Amino acid sequence: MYKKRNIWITLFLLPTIIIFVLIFAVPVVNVVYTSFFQWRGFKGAMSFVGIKNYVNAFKDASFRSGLTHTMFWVVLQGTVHVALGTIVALLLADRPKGWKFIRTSYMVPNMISGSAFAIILVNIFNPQIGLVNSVIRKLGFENFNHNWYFDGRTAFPTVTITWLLFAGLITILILAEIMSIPKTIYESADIEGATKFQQKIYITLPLLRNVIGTCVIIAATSMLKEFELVYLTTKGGPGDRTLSLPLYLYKTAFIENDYGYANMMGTVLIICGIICILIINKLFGLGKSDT
Amino acid sequence: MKRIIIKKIMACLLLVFLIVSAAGCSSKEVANNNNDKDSKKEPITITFPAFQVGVNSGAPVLKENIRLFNEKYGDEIKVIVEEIPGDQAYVDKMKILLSADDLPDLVYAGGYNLLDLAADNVELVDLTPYFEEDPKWKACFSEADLQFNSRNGKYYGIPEEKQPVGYFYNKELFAKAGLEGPANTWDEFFNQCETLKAAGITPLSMDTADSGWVSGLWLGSIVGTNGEVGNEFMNTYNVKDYDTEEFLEGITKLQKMFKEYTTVDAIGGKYENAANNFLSGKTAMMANGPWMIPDFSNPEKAPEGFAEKIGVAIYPDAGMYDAPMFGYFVASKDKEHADATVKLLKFLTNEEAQLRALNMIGRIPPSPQLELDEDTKENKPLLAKLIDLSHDAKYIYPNIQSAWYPNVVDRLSTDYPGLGMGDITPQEFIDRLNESANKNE
Repeated sequence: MYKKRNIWITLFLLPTIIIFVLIFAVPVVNVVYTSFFQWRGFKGAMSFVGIKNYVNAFKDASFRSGLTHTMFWVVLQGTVHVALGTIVALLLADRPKGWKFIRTSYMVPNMISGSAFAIILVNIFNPQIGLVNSVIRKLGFENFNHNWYFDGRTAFPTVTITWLLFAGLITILILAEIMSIPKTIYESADIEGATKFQQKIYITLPLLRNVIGTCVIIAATSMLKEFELVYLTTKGGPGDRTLSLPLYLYKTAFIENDYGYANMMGTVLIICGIICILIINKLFGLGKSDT
Repeated sequence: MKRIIIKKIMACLLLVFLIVSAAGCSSKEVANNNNDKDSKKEPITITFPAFQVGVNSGAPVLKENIRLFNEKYGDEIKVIVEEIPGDQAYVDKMKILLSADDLPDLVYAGGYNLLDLAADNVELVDLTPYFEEDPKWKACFSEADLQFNSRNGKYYGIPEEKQPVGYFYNKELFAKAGLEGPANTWDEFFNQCETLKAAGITPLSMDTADSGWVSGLWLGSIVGTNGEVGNEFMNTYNVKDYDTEEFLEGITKLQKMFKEYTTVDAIGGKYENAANNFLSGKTAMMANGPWMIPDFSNPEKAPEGFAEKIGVAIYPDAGMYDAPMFGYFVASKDKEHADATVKLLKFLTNEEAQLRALNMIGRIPPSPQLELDEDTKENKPLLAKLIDLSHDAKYIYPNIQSAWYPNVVDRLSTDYPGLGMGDITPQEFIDRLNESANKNE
């Protein structure tokens, strides 16, 4: 009986496994393998260089900047971004007036394409005609024309808030989980005299552990592949102030044609992703029962 | 029971009928196709991605050329034009296709050095036998242009235009500041900037995004007119050492231009920002090529009467961008496609096409035999003036975008903001360029 069921399970999983191996696993193995070669792409010969690409990376200031920024964004996204999304979800869970409108409008930045969003932001922060500077000028600072994206002092925070504040996806996921918590638990708490705030802290939040853990994984790992918004706003500049590792990987592959070195960065990103998932799994005890 | 048997028989008959009629149809189609093949050969398909689309100034010419080509050769050659807006996006796409050994039949290197990258890695179509077959076509290009696009004694590419690049100035704004005309020396140029600034006029349009095209034109000219050494530096392709006195001087002056003489949106701004500032009369000078001239009289881009306010000049100390250019090359993989693509290439670049482009958008023909007639001179005074001025140029040099390594051009773009904001010194800027240049083999 079980044998027959296993055959069916295998048969149904087979297409997914084949697609996964061909589209994902083979390229990943190829990326890791070629990261040990000097390979200038195209038809050029590959020569084995061992860990030279990895050693060179740590002498490379641009790589260090890209890695540092990426990891900083991973941490910020996994903490501040998820916290913001959770707080908004907890507030909306009480269904205040207009909660559906807030839920939908908070989702808008997640729904429009990254490139369109980047162009909107570039215009909002434009030093001459941008909304931000115009508002500041209206407040009485007539000659204010700060270049948010390209002044070395503000470039990094300006790029960071491009995605940090827009946690609509996190809010939606957590809100859905809150809605599925049985009402009877809250009724019991009411009878026991627990305030709304206490109910959120001692009932809702612990029950959200799994979904918050999942959200942290989604948010943190999304930063490991963040490319579009940085490329379309600052292109990593000024200098390397906003360079991310995926953007440096792109430049190395397609502008410098150094595919071996670029694949080394790809490997580093894969390793970072695995470490992130393991740490988050451990912290949130994902997959473990609450009991 | 009887009804079931009848139903089954009917189903079988229906199935047989369907099979027979389907087979009949397909055999009929095959027969028809065979007849068609006998009477008419299928057109050969060639691929041609282009960035001269949308708002690009070359778009109307390319559209017209393709229309005329289809009219004439549509039965034998089918051209698939893939539109890729933005030249940088086009170059990136070509590199990706090149890495997959899947270049299209016709590639336009334009202002970028894609030719060497392609020639080093894939087999390109040698145009020499086609030129031998058609000397009239070969005569449409100067020997300097042909040599520039040849490698190992074989012709691989041809340009579709000449690009003498000077700068434009707004005569009305100059007059407001009490200036009479363009500067003859760089010292005079910077004095003019001061005068314009004192009169409340922003002197220069500049940019940093993409390749920082406009700013790069100012920089290249400051260096390229700095004596023989500076000029030689600017005429060197794929420079690896930027640590020269002339280049340092150029970068220092460029930093001053960013800090004192341009708009606040220049740092981080694209070519479009620089162009809009000039076209709306916010800035007094903009370095750019003759392809911008039609914009001056385009009511969608500039106010009415703007064209009359504009003058053209070569750079101070008699400098001008007028070096041979990279152009089209053919990357077809078989003779049949190569022949068809060369036919298209001829159509796009022969004397007739060059004249068409000149009349439609004022593109300067690469042919040494073509000269502007009186009508054209009268209708396109700025273009005629630019060509006239080009005879006075003492220093000629290529633009940075086509002459330097792509990663150095990218580094310029990301480091101009730091330079302009004063976050890095000119020497630090140079050190970074050297670092990038030396990553190339």
